[in-house]
Amino acid sequence: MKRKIIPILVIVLLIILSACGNQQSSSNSSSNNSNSSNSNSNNEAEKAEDTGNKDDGDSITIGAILPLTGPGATTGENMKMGIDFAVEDINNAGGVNGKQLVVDYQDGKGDPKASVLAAQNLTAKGYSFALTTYSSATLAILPVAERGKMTLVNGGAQSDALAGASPYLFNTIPLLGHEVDVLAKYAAEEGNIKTAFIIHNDEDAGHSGLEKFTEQFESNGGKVVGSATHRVGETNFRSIILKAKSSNADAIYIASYDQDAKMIIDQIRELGLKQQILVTSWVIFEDLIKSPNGQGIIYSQLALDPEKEWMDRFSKKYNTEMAQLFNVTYYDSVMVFKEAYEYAVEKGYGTDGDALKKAISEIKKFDSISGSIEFNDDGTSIRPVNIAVIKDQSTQIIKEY
Amino acid sequence: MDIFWQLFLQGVILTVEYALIATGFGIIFSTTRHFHIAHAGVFTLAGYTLFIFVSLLNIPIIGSLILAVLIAALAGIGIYRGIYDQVLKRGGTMMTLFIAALGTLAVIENGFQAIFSATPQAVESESMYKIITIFNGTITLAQLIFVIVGIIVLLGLQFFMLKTKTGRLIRAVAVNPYLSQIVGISIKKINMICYAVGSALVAIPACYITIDAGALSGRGLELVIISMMAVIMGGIGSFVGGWIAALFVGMFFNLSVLHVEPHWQSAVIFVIFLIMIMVRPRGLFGQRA
Amino acid sequence: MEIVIGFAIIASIYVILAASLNILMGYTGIFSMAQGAIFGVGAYTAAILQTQFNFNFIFALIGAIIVAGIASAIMAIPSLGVSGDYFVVASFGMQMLLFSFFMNLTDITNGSAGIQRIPRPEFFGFVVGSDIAYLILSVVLTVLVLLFLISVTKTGFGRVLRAVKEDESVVMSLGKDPKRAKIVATVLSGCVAAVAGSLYAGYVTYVNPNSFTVHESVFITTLVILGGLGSWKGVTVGTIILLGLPELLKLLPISDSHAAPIRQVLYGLLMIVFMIVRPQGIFGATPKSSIQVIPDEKNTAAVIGEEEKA
Repeated sequence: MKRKIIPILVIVLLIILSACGNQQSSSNSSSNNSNSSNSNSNNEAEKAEDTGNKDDGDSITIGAILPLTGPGATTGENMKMGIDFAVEDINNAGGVNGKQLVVDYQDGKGDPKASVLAAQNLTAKGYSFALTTYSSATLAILPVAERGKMTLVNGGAQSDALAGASPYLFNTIPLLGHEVDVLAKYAAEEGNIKTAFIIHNDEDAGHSGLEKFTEQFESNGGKVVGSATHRVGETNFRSIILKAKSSNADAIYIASYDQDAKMIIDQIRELGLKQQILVTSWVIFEDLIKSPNGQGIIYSQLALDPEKEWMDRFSKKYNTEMAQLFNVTYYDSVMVFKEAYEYAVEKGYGTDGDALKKAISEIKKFDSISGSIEFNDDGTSIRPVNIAVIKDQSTQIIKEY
Repeated sequence: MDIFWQLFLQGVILTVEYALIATGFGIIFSTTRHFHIAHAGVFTLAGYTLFIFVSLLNIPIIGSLILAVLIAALAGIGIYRGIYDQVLKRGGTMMTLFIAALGTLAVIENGFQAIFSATPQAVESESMYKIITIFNGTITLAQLIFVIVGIIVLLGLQFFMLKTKTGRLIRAVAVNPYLSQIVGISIKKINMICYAVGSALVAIPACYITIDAGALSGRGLELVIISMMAVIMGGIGSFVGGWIAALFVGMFFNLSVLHVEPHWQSAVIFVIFLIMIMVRPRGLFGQRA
Repeated sequence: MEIVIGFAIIASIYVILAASLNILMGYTGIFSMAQGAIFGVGAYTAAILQTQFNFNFIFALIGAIIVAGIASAIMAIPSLGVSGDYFVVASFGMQMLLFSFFMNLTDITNGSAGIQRIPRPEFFGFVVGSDIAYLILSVVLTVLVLLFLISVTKTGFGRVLRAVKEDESVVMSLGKDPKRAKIVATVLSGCVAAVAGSLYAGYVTYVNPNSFTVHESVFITTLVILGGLGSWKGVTVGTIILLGLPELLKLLPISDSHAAPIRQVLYGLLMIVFMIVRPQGIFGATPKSSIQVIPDEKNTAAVIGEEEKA
């Protein structure tokens, strides 16, 4: 028995130590080691010279790393709709500089490792531009994109860690902090919500939501009484939902997305919680709006008002009444590429990643089918945010900002 | 108190899940001594079978459930006769069999993923999502049926093992396979029954979870591993021991959520298991090896 | 061409991993399902030392080896007292426990977001930036690891390990301590896995828990078993063949999301077929000296006393 005491003690010690180390606080940023991005060996310079962005003959190819499978597949589909529609419009109008635009889709699965491999695949093929999404995945592929000189445009990820994360990254969707600020402020000031409980996933974006909401909510007089985290892809959220119920908070803010968010909302309704549900726009898809479980959800809404002509064509092609957020942001993202590419050629910068990023930085303000996009120096952009509520299978704006 | 009752209800559901999987694995393992890790694959197979019957073939839910359980039982027998038996027949050891079991698991899990993708496939059933209230606690109809069926099955199984002739034969083989063979018991037949029963058992929670969250590959493995730990902690060969361990695990996962961070819960269970096997390897009610 | 180089780098990482498990499973007969997590410990340590503490590659590698060695030792001590089946379940438990640490010790590991921007190795001002340079580094390390392990197996200690696999009681009767040997073997295995981990971290420049799950452990086990337990040829040539075959799948017009699970199905089928028809793997020794549960005194004593064969 004596012999066994030592290993038991060791294990117990380990658990205690690790439990001490574990807190809800997360570390979003990783130290930015400038070593890596400057590891320009001769190889890269050569590459930039000869292939540029893979335009051979009469077509130009750009990459797109999207969740084609996995829990984010529906989201990925929405993004693809926006991209395909843009490509169609561009090619019908003569293409980019007269060349047909082609997209090389890669399945990032919403997972950083798969996305890194996908990005390596794209840079190996010599592309100078790719569309990306999902915060953790995007952050992970930055070094690959930098080494391979591939400019990235993100139209879906919203973690605040993306701000200034790389000179090669541009975001056509406002980062979470922007939306959460408005949501939290509204909740504290006009929503009559004094206490909140936060459910979030364990990814970058989830932690981002937790931090930002807590910051804004508490600085406006509210109090976050508890939080619980879950793994992405979890099936049973009931125990953490019951924890939220027991906190007696006025509202529950959900900083999770895709399948998880949908199931959390379903299970909240199932367990009969009466608390107000708060979310940001990334949760709001058509089937949630139409579902009875969506009734009464208050959310921060990125003001989207696509031009009528565009909306008509889009509705006809995809058989839908409303445009989802990602249809718009990704349509815009492809258009950003077109304009940047043509500008870069005109100015003689070339067509590689460096040229494109230079072009985007110089153009700065781009048209969007819903207003305009203006890039800040850190690669972020802003759109107006409203507060809306799901009511009777439709949405209603309760406050405009 | 309200919350506690709800958490308790959820704990009961989880307990029945683990108890079924553990008992299923336990029957197979204590009788055959095969490390049937492909049990997790049977779990996945049962789930997708249910999905296929309900959502693709439009067979009513009750019928589909019964069919899914039957098909799982057949699959269990199939894996035993078609794979494990072939390995052992040619002189393979228990470890060789374990590797074959790993291979079988990989084939099943990835096969389904290749066909149905990595997005959960929803099982459509209006009735199953109906909400029922018990003393201020809410559960769905699916959960209620699952718990009732689960408990009946477990008790029925205990009766079967203790009171019927086949049950006694199974226990004889579990205690001493060599002697059993000498007195004329057909080991192969007994093994097949065990695989059938064990696989049918695991199909029940598989179907429930599929109704709750959709059919998806990969859910089975962690559940099976935790269930294996429950079986070992309870004592191999003891149903009741396994149930008590399952109760502990199920209740722990739910009730402790108020005090233990959710993502540390599995880690705590593993540590408790490791301590248990060092301190009392035969588990609560197991016989000495 | 770049795709081939990329493949070669990944292949060498897995050769090292297979080698590390080979010492454990092939030579000592310990069936561990936690190698994926130990791989992760090595990778994370290298990543953290380089990104948080600005260690260079060599020191980070040494650090990874030390930490993984310690982790393996801690894992080994309690679980070696339990036998066969229990040990497998215990190693599953270890795997999941370590995975839990990767996910939840967010202050150290950054949780599921992972650690980004791991720098490429730098030697006296020369940065191993291009893939070709990285391949050279990987191959050099792989060769060193293999030479080291092979020479270990030729020592007296190596013979003790093989004997432990055959029959522990005979080992004890000959005056050697099987428990100690097992612990050393586990630590050795962990240290080698850490080399693979450091290479991985430096190549992908990003680590997150999802690369080190139980599925990874199963995959490494597959490589060793199919390549041939106990065979160094199996570890190298076998791994390359097993990794390479499915790459040919990529040439077919099957979408990426189908190719990955199909590859796993192929591996699974191979495992089943091999275990039925040729359990010693492609290059494994003939049945007499591969996995054996039935103790064999004559064989064991002979193994300890006999001269080495290559």
